Amino acid sequence: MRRLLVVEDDARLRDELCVLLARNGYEAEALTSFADVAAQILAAAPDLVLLDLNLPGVDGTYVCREVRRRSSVPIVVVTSRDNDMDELLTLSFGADDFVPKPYNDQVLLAHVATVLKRSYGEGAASAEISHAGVTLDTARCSVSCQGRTAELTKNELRILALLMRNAGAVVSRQRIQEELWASDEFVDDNTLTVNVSHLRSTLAKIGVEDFVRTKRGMGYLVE
Amino acid sequence: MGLGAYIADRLVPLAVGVVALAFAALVMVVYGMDAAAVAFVCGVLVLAAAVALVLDWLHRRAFYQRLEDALDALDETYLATELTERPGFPEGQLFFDALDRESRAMRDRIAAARRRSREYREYVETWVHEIKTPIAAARLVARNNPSPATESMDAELDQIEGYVEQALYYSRGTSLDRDFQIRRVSLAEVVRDALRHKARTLIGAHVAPELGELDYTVRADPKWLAFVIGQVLVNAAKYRGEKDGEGRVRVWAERRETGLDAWETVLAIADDGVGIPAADVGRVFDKGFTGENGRRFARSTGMGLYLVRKLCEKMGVRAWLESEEGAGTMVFLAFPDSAERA
Repeated sequence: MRRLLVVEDDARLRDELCVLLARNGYEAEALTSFADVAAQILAAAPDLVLLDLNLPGVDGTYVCREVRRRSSVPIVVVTSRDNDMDELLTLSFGADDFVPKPYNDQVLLAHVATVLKRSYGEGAASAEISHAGVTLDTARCSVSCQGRTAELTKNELRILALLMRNAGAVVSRQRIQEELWASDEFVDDNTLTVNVSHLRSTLAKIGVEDFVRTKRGMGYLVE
Repeated sequence: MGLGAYIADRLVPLAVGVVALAFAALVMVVYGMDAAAVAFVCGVLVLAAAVALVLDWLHRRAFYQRLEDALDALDETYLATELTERPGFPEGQLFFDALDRESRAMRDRIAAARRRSREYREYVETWVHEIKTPIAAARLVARNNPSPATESMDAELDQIEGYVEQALYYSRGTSLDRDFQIRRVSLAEVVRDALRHKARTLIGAHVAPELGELDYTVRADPKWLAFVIGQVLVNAAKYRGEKDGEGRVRVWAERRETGLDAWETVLAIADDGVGIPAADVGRVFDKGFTGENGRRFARSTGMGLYLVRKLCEKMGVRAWLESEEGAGTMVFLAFPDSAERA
């Protein structure tokens, strides 16, 4: 499991970010004091840093440069300053990516996964998600159950991963569409229905029936 | 100031001089002076007066001419006294000093107004950046605790974010400073960026995009352009109407020749929504114009398309739309080739 360090001074945002990351298969830690941030980041030695630029008493770009001098840990800058200059400046100071606030959670997760993949190779961002005997391998894009394995398309993988991460809760069709749009798959309602029915028949091929259930008027559910 | 006007202005002293000269000549004739001698004296006096007048006129004209040239050369005419020398004759000096004082007062005012508007804009920018942190936090709270209540709160947050974004771009678009960077951007990327950004609004309104040929690069500020496209997409969602099924918004681009060797890339965004009444089409880009659709279908602020045109104008992009009531609206953005603008 990849360890992520959240450097954000707004306490609520920090907590919620940690919850979000933990729910999506990462181990999330956060800094709570902002004295000598760069040293703290180096000491924590995480796999990736989520860095806010507006920190009390210290400029994020400076932190970025300091960390980069002694470590190649990937840094994703998260900021509400969204002008081009800031973006170019932080990237030139060694940040790996730049996500403007207020971000969509799926967009943020997509950025994190991309940077992890780039830094640690394909499969680095993967988490195997298991639920009720069904295992999803996000790196290989495959699903398996009792020794039988089937390939999934990218969309099917995203849909199933979302449902399995939220196992036990109904996920609305809108929510699934949003997840797909966040990775540039601008599917409409009908395409989503087709994707889900393909996903079901793929699951049926490895003997998994009734795994994805339809809640009429609400969405889909993996129990 | 022409010579005629100058002489006309001195008609009274000239008339007095002529009368005095005539009287002196008469006296000389009465005293029995030779006619030729009288004519000679009068001639010398008239010539001397004429030379003096012309010299004086040239001297004054030089000042007024310089002032007029300065006024013609300047866009900001209140700076004219800066470019003109103080004249050497008293009336001119009085006039020049008065003008100079007045324009100085004016320049101070303008500088103060500029400073105030810049400070206000900086405040808006800061405020917008500050508000984004609580919005981001609220959004994550909603996402981390999914329920019907938080989902509708999430939708409200989208609206808040939309208004905040408009405020930011309003202050940027109407500022006197030029704080955007035109560079080569890929249309496909910017369009996808805008779609991701407005995903929830579009999905919520059951509007899905159909992307056509977008493999072009154009010259624009990518952030501004994404905002502009976002405004158009939000309109497609807002004015979708009460149709069943999915709404469509088609986005594509094409190249076309606008003149001899002059080309432009046109981005088209077409929805199949309610369209705009013919009477309103011409005014939808006006600030604060809401029109019939604004009253009938959605809460409209009349800012979206106004900002579209404003920002496009600043970037040198032409924006216009065509609409058929009941069939849909097509918004076009035309990016001229850089060669044409160079």
